[in-house]
Amino acid sequence: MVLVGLIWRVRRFVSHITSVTSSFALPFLYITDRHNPRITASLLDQIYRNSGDCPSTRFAHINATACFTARLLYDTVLNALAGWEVAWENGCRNWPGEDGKRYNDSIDSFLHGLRNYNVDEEPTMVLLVERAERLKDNLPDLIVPLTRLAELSQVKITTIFLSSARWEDIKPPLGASPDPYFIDIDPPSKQDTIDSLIFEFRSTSITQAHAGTQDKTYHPSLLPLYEQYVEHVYNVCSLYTNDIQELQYIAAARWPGFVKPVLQEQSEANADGDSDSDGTCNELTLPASDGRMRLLKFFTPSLTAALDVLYPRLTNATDWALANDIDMHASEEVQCQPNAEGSIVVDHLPRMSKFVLLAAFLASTNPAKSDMRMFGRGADKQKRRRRKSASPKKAGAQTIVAKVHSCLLHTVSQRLLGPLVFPLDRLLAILGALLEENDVENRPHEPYFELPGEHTDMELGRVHVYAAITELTSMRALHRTTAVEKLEGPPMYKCGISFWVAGALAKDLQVPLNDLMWDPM
Amino acid sequence: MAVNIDLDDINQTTVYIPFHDSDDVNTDTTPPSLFPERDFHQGCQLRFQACRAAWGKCLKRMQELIHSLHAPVVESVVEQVKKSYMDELPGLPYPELPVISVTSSSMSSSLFDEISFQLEENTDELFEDTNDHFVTHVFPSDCTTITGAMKTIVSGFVSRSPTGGQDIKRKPSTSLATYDIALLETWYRAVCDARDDRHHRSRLIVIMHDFEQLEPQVVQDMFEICSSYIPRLPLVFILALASPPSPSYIRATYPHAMLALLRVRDCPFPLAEKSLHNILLETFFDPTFEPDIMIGPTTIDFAVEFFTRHSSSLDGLLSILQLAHMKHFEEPLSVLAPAQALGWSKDAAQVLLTPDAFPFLDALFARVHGSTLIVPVEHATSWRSATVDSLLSSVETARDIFRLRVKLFRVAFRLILCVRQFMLVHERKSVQGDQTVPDLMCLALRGRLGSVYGHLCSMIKTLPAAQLEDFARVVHDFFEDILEDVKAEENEVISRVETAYKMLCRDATTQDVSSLLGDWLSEYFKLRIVALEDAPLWDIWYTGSTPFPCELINPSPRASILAGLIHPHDYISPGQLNGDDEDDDLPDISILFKGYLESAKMINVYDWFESFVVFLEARKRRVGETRIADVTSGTSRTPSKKGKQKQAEDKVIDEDTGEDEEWLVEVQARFIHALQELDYLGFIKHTGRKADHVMRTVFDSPE
Repeated sequence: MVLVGLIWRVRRFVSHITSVTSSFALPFLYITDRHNPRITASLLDQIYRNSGDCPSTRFAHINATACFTARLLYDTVLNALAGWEVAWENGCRNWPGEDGKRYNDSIDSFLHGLRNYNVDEEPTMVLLVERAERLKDNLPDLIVPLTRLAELSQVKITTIFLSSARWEDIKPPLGASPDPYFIDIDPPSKQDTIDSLIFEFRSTSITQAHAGTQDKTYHPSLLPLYEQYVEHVYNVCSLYTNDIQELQYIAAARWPGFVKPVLQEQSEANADGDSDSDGTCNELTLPASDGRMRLLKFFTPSLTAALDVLYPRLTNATDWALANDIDMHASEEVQCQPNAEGSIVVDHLPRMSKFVLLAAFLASTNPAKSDMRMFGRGADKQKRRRRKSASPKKAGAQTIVAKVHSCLLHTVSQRLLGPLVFPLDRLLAILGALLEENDVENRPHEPYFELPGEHTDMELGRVHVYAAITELTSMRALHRTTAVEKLEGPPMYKCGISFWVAGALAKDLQVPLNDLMWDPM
Repeated sequence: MAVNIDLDDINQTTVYIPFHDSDDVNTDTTPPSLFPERDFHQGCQLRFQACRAAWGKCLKRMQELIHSLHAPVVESVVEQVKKSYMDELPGLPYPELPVISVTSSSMSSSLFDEISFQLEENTDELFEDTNDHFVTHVFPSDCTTITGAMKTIVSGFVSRSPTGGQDIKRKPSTSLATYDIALLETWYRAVCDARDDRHHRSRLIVIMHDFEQLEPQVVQDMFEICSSYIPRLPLVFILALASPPSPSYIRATYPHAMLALLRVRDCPFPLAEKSLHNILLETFFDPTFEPDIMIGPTTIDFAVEFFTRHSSSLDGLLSILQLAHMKHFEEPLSVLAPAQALGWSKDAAQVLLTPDAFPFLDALFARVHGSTLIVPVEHATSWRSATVDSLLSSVETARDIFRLRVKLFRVAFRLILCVRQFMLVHERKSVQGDQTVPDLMCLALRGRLGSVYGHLCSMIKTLPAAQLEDFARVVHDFFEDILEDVKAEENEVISRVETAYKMLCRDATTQDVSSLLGDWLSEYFKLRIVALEDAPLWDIWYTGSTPFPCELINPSPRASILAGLIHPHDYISPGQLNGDDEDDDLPDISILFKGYLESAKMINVYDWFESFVVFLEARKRRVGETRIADVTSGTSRTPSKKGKQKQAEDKVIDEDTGEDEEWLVEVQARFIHALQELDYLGFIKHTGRKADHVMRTVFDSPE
């Protein structure tokens, strides 16, 4: 069986870990898992919760994100080590210990609480801290005591830090913590990934069977087909993501649609043939190998489509599975997926807000010095463009490095460097230029504005232009970089929309965006 | 109150002049009328009441419509909350935290009250399905830190006693912390035990208001903590977003690691523009609803323009229409808009037969006799016998005529829309044009819909047989559904449609029937779709083409301030004007501002002061007091010497005595006062770069 390899590897890891902790040889372990810390954490959790071989082990599993204050950490650890169930009826009391004292006000009382477990027999304790890198932000003072917990409390406790970061990154300075025993988890190989997905299939089919659903999507006899399917999913998607959970997510979204034809065939066959008693039709017959190949080939495009949409979570697996429930008998038309870039819809915004956003985008991408050239009237399009090849040849040898450096700096487009900060006045000026060039025809005609640009000027000073800017700021489509309380000086803003959104806006407003950009696409 | 203020005491560096609220002695409860030549004393009060009533009726209708827009959204949110944790896809790597995002930019906040009411208290009796979920609200001000955020969420639920009885006291030191989510878990277990709810059907709903304002780091931590407790704690998050669903704020702001924990579902809202069209149509063009005041095409145009250009909020639409109502009731005649506006005839006569109501009666008389209400033949005689009663009864007649006309107009307009819809459904693309529903409304109100219905009627004539039968049925059904009183008025066209319908049923030749039907309908539209201005006394009930006061909704403060400084007379109420020459009563600040506009980038304050003095002197001389002549020459002797203010003052003080000295001090005080005002308005920047100079901040010439 394929699973043997996985199980063997897991067993080795388990025995390694348990031998290290149960013998209490090492008080501090640091496990680095850059790839799937969540899976590792749940595995460790299972090891210690179901450990039959060392019943005296007490175990606490905490998440450093969730324990954002010291008190929360003390409470959580002590209650978990004691196996104490907090009940509403007694006023949500924490584990009282023997002496009923308070253990959560400082590290000393916490250590005192730990010592209180040592009443009759001395248990070994394990404290697993998941996402240990967060301790550095939330509780920097507690890192040293936690790493020296056994030493300080004089009990047999092993601290395990599990993190995706390296120990060097969170290590307290001056060698205050002892060096841990390192365990690095290797990235999963292809076989590991596939094995663990198959393992998950089994557990799902067991839970489904327990729940007693009629749905046969996760019927155990589909396992050989699933193996092939998962391998195919891996081949298609591994180019983009190796994450086991992401692959499982995509596989789970596509699987119901994938097995649907198989299941339909089954039910039709059952209906046609003499219906056996319920007991015998438990086994499903799987399609032959050429049938499987056809299935896999048919679903390949929809797998990449699923990756496109599900990996950035543009939608969720449940809804995607429903929306892409292909009916094989209807037609074999190609599923047209909404393209991530083409589907930017901007018609929720009023027209003025669109112009404001576009002006903000231009103000954030173009250098301020170029405004006169880009938006000034009379400049023809050729002149506006930035000169592409401006490489001075007469550089001396000693300045070449600097020149190259500055050239490199210049060639990186502002679009890639992120938005520039601009003052409100500049935004309004660019907005005025945009409105004058692109919006005059769309306004109702007002006879009492005679000078060219006078009407635009009037429109620019209106209250609702400022209101639009404020509203966009509250939507975080613009970012205000100066404090609201600060009165002196113009408020500064930064654009919060991407190039693609700006492109969609420009298309909607019929503004030639590329001509207005200093560094066009 | 007498306060001893000695302004000349050099020991007193600061002087406090208390404010006496004695200026507004003539506070009247009613504002002055804009048309005093044809108004009467109580008119304003009565018009105000009428306006309130008319707007109240209109507002109620519109709020009902807006409310009905909410209903499907509320329903879908509630449905999703109920389904959460039940419709999970099997085989996912871990359970996802259900999150429902609702875009609420154009919606009022009542939406979320409605959602929480539906989830918490509403009971569906039919299925005995109690919605006993728990809702808590989180606002951005609570969530500056993760501790605060968790505390809000946890205590929002835990503050409700699970058993309904006395709350059990928790000791702050030895119990779980109030921001500990484990406390929430304990509480939820107690709730489920108390309710005997083994399937854990109650959901814990957290509504996060103004989601964009929340600190992303805090939100990330909060979601991570909450997601590690599901499905033990069935939490559901509802996010109130101000930004549109696309481009999505959530996906642009938060990292993949957090998005992977959530199952985000968007709750789509109907497009704001479509709801605007619908609300306008259902309020002013619904045959079953009669607003007191019919709005005109300019107001519709402005509302639509404002809505698409500046702010797509329905609250904004309400303000615009309210303003249109208020503007309408400025006209003195509009006091007659409601039926029995002045009470029964006796009261009315009492109100109007007072001397100060005569201008009003006069104007009314002129209008009534200028209209078609009085048959021309009777003109010569009827004016003699005119009484207040007869005038009022003429107004009543005019009201009935107008009401009926608008009602028939609405029915005809709805029929045009109905025909248009039919043609659209049957793939006649050319019908669409580029006219939206509000465009059609405006055209119809101006009586210029001829080309549209002409085109539609010619299209009827080309309908193939099968569609013609459908069409006849649609029109027939349309007339079946209208009100009885309209049916009585429209019996001609109804009987014609009936005939056409019967002919079609009897298999007559399509050609004949279609051309007949087309002509009949065209005739009918021609009769009914006419400009409402043709009715007698129309301006009492119809705003017509009065320009909308858009400056009130969307003013331009900068332009107004500049205009006010340059032409102050346009802003001072006419009663305070007394001089003939414009220059003679310019306020000080305007005099200063003239110099400001003429100067360069930097202004020398002393020169500015000099020119101010010259201006005032000239004015004073013109007024006729020539005694100052030598003072003027005294000051004008040092006009170009900069920074020698002291010297100049010394000279002035040396040469002049008593009154003149006082006058100069007054001028200086006025100058400083006006300068301070300009400074306060932001026209001046103190750079300190050059002595005695300030910088201009406004450079555009606003002439």
